[in-house]
Amino acid sequence: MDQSQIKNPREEEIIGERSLAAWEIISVFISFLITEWIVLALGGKFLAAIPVAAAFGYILVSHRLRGETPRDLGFRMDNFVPALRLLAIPTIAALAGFLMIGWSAGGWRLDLLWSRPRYLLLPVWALAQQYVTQGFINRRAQTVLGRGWKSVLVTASIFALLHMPNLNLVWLTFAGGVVWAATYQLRPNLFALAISHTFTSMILARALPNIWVNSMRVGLKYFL
Amino acid sequence: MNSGSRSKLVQLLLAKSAIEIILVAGLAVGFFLITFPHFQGWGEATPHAIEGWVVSQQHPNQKVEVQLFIDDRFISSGVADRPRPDIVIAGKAKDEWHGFSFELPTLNQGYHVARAYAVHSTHQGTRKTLQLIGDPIPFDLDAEGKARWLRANSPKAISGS
Repeated sequence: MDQSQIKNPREEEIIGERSLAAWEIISVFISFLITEWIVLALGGKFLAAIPVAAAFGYILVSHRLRGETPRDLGFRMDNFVPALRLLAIPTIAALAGFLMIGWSAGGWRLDLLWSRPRYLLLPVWALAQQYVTQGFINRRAQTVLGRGWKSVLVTASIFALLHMPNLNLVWLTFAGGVVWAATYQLRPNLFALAISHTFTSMILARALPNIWVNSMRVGLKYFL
Repeated sequence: MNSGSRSKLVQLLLAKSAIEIILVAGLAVGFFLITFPHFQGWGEATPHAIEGWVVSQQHPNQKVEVQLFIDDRFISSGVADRPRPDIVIAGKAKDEWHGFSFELPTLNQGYHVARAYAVHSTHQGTRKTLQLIGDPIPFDLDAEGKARWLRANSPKAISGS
């Protein structure tokens, strides 16, 4: 056998690119499940910072080692308007749907939008969620499954499962996740996604009857 | 991405998993210890009462709230603050004021089982747990309404559980 065909064990790959990307998705998903289901319920917000920081820390290192720039991830303005155009129709349709259903069910509490200062933080919260879901999970799902409906469905499913056991939110976030993940694959812009996410979650929380969305609670806190 | 970077990411994933396992295990143990602190004690049936003692191992000076159930039905609650000099002699408590006594309610003649529970509150009283003190207390009630403890010679009566 030609000596050049013998692989030095030190040079052998520890893990393939696709397997590593799949492991990354699962690991980050588990970090947020631990936060929602265990740490927030038993340990409080202070301890919840540990798995969240571990997940974000890992994500940042993963970007750096893969040579992903903020622009690659979607922190950019050149495709902002095209991305907004793609999102406009589904977002407006969702807002109109929530408002109509909420109005017919008598669940409107839109006056509370202006009395809760925490809603000012919603765009930041939406951007953080879209960054993790699209900028990390969607990108890694594309590494594993390629660009297209498979990686879109995986991304949307993970986003929806993080809203368990609030079943109404699970279905709605799955639908939203499909739209956002597909848009991201066509026009990767996290700011446009965050705007769509902010408006839909704000109107969802205040237009639909609270009994349907249980104050948007997820994880173990849903039951408390 | 080269294999060196992949190797680093694998190491990071393992480290992250280890941190999360330690965090979850620590929370589980901490939650268990806070929610279910150890109570040492014992209960017995006397002719007209269920009596016993209970000491919180976490707060030995605290007077523990006790609830009595007979045949799985709530009967009464009270605080274990009656004198029990025997538990000081046995080295179970530093002071004798950890005894409890509940008068037996009106019951049908025959076999019954009493259970005394230590009550523990956590999270500003939003959670309460009941922990059995010692063992269940089986007794027979005769026609005159006097109870006879069916394990009256148990050596655990003083040693506790």
